[in-house]
Amino acid sequence: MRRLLKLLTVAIVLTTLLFVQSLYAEPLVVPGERTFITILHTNDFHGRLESISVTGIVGGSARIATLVNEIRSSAPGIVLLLDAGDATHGTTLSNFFNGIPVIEVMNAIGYDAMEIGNHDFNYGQEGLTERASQAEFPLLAANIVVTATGEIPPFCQPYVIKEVAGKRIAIFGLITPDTPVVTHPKNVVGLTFLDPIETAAKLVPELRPKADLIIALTHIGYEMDRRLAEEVGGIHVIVGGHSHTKIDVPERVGNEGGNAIIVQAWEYGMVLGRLDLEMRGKAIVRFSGELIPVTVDVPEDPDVKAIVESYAAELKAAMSEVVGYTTVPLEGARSLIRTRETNLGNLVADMMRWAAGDAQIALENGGGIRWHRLFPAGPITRADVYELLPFLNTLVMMDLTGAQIKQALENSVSKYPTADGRFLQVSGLRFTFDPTKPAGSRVVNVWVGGEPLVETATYRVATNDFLAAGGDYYTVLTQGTNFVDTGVYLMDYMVEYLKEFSPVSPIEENRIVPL
Amino acid sequence: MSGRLRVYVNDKESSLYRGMRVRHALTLEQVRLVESGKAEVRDSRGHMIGLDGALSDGQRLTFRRTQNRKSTNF
Repeated sequence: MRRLLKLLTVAIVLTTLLFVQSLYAEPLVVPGERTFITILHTNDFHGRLESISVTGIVGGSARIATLVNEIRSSAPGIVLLLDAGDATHGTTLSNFFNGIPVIEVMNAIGYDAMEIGNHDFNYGQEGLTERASQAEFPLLAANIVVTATGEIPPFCQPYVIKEVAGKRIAIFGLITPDTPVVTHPKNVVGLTFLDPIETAAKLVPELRPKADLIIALTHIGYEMDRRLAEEVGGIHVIVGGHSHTKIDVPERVGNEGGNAIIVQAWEYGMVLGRLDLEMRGKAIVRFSGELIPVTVDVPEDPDVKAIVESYAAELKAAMSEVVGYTTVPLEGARSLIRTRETNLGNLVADMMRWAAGDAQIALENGGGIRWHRLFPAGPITRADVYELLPFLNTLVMMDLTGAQIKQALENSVSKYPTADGRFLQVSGLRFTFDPTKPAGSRVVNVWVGGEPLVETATYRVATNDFLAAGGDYYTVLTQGTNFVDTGVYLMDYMVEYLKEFSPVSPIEENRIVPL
Repeated sequence: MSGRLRVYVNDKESSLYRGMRVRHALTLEQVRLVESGKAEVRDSRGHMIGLDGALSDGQRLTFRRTQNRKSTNF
């Protein structure tokens, strides 16, 4: 009887083991062959090298470095540090130096790979190539090709395979296919951005035999990360960015088509993402994760702090750098720039049309031009420019019909003679208006490039993202086509413009004429 | 690919350009409240999202005021 019971017990155990084994894609590894992998991740850092606040969650790369080092010394297994893109552009500290300090800091912290984000293109392909050669880690993107050849561009590689402690970890990159409309067109000339899901569907089967763990490092946004998890099998982890999503707890997403663990660490280095995996063979048997807040009580790593402070000191000195000259006083008085054409308004609008490259017209709201005084003739410093255009508004372009442009001009003068921030300073066009008429019916004549405006024609217009989203009651500007957001602040373009064209001598040219 | 996105904030539909960000779907006052820590924006799955997060077509956002706290977003 006892023997029978023993045999029965063994049979039950064996049957259970066989059943459980059938649930896994890979055969169970014998007990003890476990691998622990910790993935640390950031995304949408946008040049936030310095702390962004003084209490609570403060961010800052020196504190991130401390947290990374602590985890590296305490985690039980392999530790990877990844960034999901939009790291190098976004603050004056990063932009002024073309992203160099960000890569230098990422080298110091020891990143293993970075996906390119759309804003990392803001320094152009040349700048991106320079950052790629500066980086001591690969820049990834599997869905960008050179249009003419179909080859991967020189500044990135589609994937990297890291062999660590006997494990092969493949990390491949995906960038948003919206990139051509969220950076200046000149930055993506000659490139094609392929569909990320289709790219992954082709690439992952190639990687499967080469890797024990497959990580998608993506800058495509959380919703597309979910689609990726559901539609492409074989991906273990998706480390995401672009949507600035705060995924507090890692999510396993998917179905029969595929499933993956998705993580994303909000934005600006305010948190450090951590995902802990326990693997047996190629299967993840357990996972957990969190977003670690980068708070004021985290000590700053002295080496990274020194790097940041060095660049900050250089930038501080650069703020008093003279970037241009004006031979004439520039009229920025609030009561004037919001009610009539001024030479300063013309200068700013002309700058926008120049920066756009292909725009026939530029429109800038007087409320965005902030000197609020008569700026004297003479030197213009960088600090002066940042005061002039302090809002973090980006230059955008779109196609509008003549009728839409006229509607925008109607809104511009609708409050005249009251000083209103919506009053436009313009470039590339002239118009007359009759203030005695009711608002909405005041614009009389409009000329673009010296020719009468044709209401059914299409014109390329440069403006700022605030107006393009309907700000200041410019609903009509939300209705254009072929929209592009350069992602570059007006202040930065103004510096470039002054350096290019100084000394400037803007005058009033009867661009806006009340009858 | 369409050049436009439909986005809903508290069930109110907006049509925006593809490539626009969360801040473009909000009013100026809403943006200022989020920047000052007095409000937050969440996606349809309850995740907080940053003002400069990219939008996707059909996305539903919830804007709500919160307890006054230190700004963590700008």
